[in-house]
Amino acid sequence: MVVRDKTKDIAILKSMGATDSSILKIFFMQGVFVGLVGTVVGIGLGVVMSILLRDYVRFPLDRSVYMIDTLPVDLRISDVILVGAGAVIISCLATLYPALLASRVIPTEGLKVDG
Amino acid sequence: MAFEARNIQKIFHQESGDVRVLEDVSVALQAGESLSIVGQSGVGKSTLLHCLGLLDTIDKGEIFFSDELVSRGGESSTQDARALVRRRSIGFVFQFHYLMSELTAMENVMLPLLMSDHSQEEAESRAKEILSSVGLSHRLQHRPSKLSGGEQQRVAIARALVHRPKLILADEPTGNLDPKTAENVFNVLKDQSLRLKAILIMATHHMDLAKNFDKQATLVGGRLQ
Repeated sequence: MVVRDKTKDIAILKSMGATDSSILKIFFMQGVFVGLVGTVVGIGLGVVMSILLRDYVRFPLDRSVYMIDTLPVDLRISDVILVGAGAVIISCLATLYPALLASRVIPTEGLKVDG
Repeated sequence: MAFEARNIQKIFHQESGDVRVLEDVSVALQAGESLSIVGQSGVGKSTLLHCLGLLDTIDKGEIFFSDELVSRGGESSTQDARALVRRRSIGFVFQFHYLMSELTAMENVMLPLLMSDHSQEEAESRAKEILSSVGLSHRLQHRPSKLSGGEQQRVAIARALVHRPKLILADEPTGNLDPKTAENVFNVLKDQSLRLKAILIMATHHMDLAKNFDKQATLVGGRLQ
């Protein structure tokens, strides 16, 4: 979406001498930044929610169905790191293709885009 | 610095057949000279400027800056080389200002310098200087939406000239402006290009403006006359 919205800006940057690789870098870094922010916020919220559920809220379960009284919460630092690393890697991979599309915008075509 | 384009040919390959937009177009200008190109809408003026400014590839012909060949086919390996020539030596002014809406006037003008690895301080200083010289010292921190049409185009001119290009290509820069503002914007463009001793090539519909150039040419049937 960002690439589609920014097609004209990409064309202008290219008319000023931006290379394909520099455009690729800009969009990749932006995608990675968004992914990192999302991962950090997600991990923060997840950890806080887990601690709340483990120590304070204690989500009740029907013992006759689940054989336990409350939702068990086991917060492991290794899981947090693994999930965080996975999210960052996935966001990097998901950023590559749109960044590649951005770098391939043909300036003369980009200038014709409305908006 | 001399600029020369020899026997440029540009063909658009379409499903309905090939369209020869430019045929055997040659241009030769010395530093400080100016050329106006007039012609009917759709005749290929913009395409010619895009080709001369290495924004588009050419099918035949050669383009030289100071005897250095800067145009080579359409291979991707040379796209970066053409981009570097644009960054170093060419400034574009379009019919629409194409300023970045999220940036202030000064930030827009700083962009070409920051792309050329100038320091933030130097970019700020040169952006302020050129915006002042086009009469916009009081508009540095305004975003494009807060500027009038003439002011937006003057910011676009400042952005095109801030890196002191050797070649300025203006594609109907006054086409969207009322006659008085158009004359004002044109004078700014002409004065600034003279100050830089840059070559100015401008496509225009305004015959009155076209007469103010050192050389005039008309694009007809893909050929310059």
